[in-house]
Amino acid sequence: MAITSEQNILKQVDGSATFQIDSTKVISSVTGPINVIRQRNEEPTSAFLSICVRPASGLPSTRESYLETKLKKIITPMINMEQYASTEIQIVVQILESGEREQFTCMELSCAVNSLYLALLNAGISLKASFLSSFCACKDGNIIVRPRMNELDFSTSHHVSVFSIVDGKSDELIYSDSLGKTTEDELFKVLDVISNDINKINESVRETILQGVVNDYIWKF
Amino acid sequence: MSEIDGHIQLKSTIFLPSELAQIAPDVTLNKYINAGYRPSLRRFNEFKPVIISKAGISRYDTSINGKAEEMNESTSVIGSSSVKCGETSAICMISAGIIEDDFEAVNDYRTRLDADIIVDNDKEEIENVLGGELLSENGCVYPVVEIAKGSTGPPGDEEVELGEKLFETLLHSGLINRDELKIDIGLKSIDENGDEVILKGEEANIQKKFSFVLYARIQVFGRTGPLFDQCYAALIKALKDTKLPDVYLNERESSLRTRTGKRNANVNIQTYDLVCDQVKYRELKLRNDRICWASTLGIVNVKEERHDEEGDAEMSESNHIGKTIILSDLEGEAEDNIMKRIIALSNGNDEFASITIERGTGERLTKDVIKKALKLSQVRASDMIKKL
Amino acid sequence: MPSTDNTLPIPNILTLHSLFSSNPPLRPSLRPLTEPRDLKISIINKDNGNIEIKLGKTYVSCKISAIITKPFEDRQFEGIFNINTEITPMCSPLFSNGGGNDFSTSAPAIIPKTVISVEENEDNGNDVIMGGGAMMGLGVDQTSIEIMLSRLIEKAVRRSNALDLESLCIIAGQKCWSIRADIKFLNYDGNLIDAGNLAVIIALLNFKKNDIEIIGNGEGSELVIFDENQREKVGLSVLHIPLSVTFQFFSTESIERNIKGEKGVISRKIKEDSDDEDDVNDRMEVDNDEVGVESESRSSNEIIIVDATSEEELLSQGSMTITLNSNKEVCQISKSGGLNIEQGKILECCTIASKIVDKWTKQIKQVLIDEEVKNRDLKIEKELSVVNDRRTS
Repeated sequence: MAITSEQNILKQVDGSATFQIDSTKVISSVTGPINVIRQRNEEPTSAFLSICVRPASGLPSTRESYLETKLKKIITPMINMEQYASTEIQIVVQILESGEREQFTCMELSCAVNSLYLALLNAGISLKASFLSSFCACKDGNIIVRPRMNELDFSTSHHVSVFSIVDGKSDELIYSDSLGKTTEDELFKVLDVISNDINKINESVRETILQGVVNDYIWKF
Repeated sequence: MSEIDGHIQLKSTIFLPSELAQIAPDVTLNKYINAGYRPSLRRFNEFKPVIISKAGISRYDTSINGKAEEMNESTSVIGSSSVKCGETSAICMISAGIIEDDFEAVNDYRTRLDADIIVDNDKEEIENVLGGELLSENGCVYPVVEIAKGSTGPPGDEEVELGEKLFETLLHSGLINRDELKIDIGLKSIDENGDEVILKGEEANIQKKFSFVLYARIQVFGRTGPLFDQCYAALIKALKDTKLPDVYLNERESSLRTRTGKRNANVNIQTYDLVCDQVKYRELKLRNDRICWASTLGIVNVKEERHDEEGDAEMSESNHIGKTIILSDLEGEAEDNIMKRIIALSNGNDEFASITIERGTGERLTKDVIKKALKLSQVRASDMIKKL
Repeated sequence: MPSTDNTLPIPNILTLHSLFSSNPPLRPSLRPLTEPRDLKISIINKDNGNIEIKLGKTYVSCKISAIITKPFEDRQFEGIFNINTEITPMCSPLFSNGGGNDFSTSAPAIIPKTVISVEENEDNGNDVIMGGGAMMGLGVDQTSIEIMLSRLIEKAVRRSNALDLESLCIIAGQKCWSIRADIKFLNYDGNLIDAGNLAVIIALLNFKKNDIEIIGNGEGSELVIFDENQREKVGLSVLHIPLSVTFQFFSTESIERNIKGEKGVISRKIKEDSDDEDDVNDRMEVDNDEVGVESESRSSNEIIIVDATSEEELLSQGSMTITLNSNKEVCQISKSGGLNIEQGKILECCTIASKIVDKWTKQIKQVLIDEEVKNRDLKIEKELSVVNDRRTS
């Protein structure tokens, strides 16, 4: 399944990136650090993350709000928040193609995390570590990595995980969310599989980042 | 201040424990844990007692006095429960609506397919079209969580998160069989003798299919610790208690109106008069192996205090791996700030309906810790599910 | 209030002003005044009408979705068509978040509709969620300007009957298609109206919905939806292609002088020592010049440009949007406030707009033809399936 990503597509924001796995496409933008827009959000010792997720079609609903909460939990520990005290980092995640039924959020969440990582890098926000995400579905003990829509429909459980990346290899579990009937064994198997898959995704993502740096480098000799 | 004498005296400020917990929750927690206790004075893996009971406010509940005839006729609640845990109580009420299966089905491509078009060997394709197991088999409840906070207004992030998480876990856990929600609709008619009869199945010959949609309204009073565990318990308990009314179509009322529109076209508007029986009901059956208990566990990394050997010795006995301690039933200001959490929904039988792991900040989250946490949640679940 | 730290570079505005004041007036990009920027159309997903367009650096994405619902009580023979526009800070930090997420309840969003519940008040024809933000030059009232943006697109596409609503009706009074267009503004570099309009139309032209059939009639009739593997999807019936062209007006005169003839007979005129904007020592005098004469002498000072960039929009003193189709029919004209312009100019603008619309229409049709050719090759094995060409171009 094809992974495509691109950095620095939008001009008015500090950082932006798209990320696409198969038929799920997400674009993210990062602006910041900027002055805190609503005074009550100001935090004296760390940055305030305002995350806004917009659906592919229709008006934003509680589903998107829940995605925002999840994203916040994933992103917050990865940013050096204390470096941006009393400022705001404004994040917008726009789902362009959902690729899954509205009862699921795993593809959107995974692509949103990946595109956000690229956008944060593009915006020059200080990160504690690199991180990437992938997802899989399980049925009858088989694990399908990055399932398609109908594979997901038929699965008994599905999992989304985020791993940090150290020395080009997936390292530490940041976040994991499993839904559906599952067991402890399955969870650990899934975590291993996803960790391997993230190594694969990382190859393609590194390519994008390299390309991004080459394009940004204006002082060519 | 004058600094004539050349030196400034630094005074140590003394805070009350409750104040310190607000100012520096991590420091407070560390102090307690080094002493071998939690701010609530519970042990690390000690759970709080939970009181689960029927609220007895639903329609088909017989009144408390035990008189069978007296029903709560005025209410539309068809299942209820109350869960009390420490200072927090949650009340869950289930109500239902009726939908015409048609609309929903059409948009999920689960409608009847034209047999002529599909060749026999395309079975797989049919399955794809019909939608997966999940959508055709798993029914769901649409929960609304309200946390009493003394003011009205749009729901906060916490309420939205709780509602969505309940919805998501319940849908994917497959607790409710979708077929359970289908309505075996009867036709209310008058037979030759002039008595009211209710025709079912073939006799009734009703083309339209209807099913129930369940709504849950969970009200939470008090706010100590993660509310998800209690909300989930309340929801499951209320669903176990849910009784679905018998529904029939009123023959006289179901009419076909014809309205003449512009350009000589006619519009047929069929209205259905669906009546829910006052007395007759059936129980909502749940898949028993999918009934779970949610445990939110916090994980803390302890910074050892160099001089405090006593506390350290005590800890090695208690439940912790290396320097990592798993705390159950988080409670209070200091523990609310633990971002490293594992939320596991176990059925007490080696199976889970959902596992969420949030790393948060601090030390690495090791496999051992996860295993230990899952084990703890299983022990708790096997104990609590009996009480549901 | 949104912070303006990293928004438009202010010094450029001054440069821009001096360029416009030159004779002949120039645009910073040296683009002719009445020429739009390059339009790039990319079709992301041919079937669900997901498209992206780029008008210069303005970047808009549009997606169409279709579901089957019950038609409105008062419009039983028609389908439903909604356009939803939303501007997020992604577009530019000038815009704030669309009011945050204030839901009426915390219930999950995908609740199915009940049949016996009280009739919902569904007549929210204008599903508009907008944040605040300054745009189109006159950043007087942020939200009102944003609502204007979505209304304009709505008027241009929905009210001009570009989409044949009657063709969306399946069973009168019972079932109809509900088509929804979601316009997402991804990058803001001026002229969101034209870009949004283009995006919706191109998306509608590309969108294909599943084929349906009604089996049986009367009470026992059943609606069958066919999967794309069973029957070719069918396009929407788009009756014509209305496209908007937005003009921005500038005047090198000071604001006070632009008001030609106030309520009374006596008009105010400002005598200036020089034409320099920065000259603050303007003196005001009552002048008894006749209105007509004055406007005559002033008209040459108006500069009209099309497809303004964000910098140009910021400086603009007034705007007008004309929506035309390729038959040279005016579908909508909107000029609300701003710089007063002479009536004759509007006809001039129409001529300019007509040329641009022709150019864009040609380009859109070319893209559609190219896409068709691409798809034919892929689906050659499906030649056997029933294909009814229901598209009208």
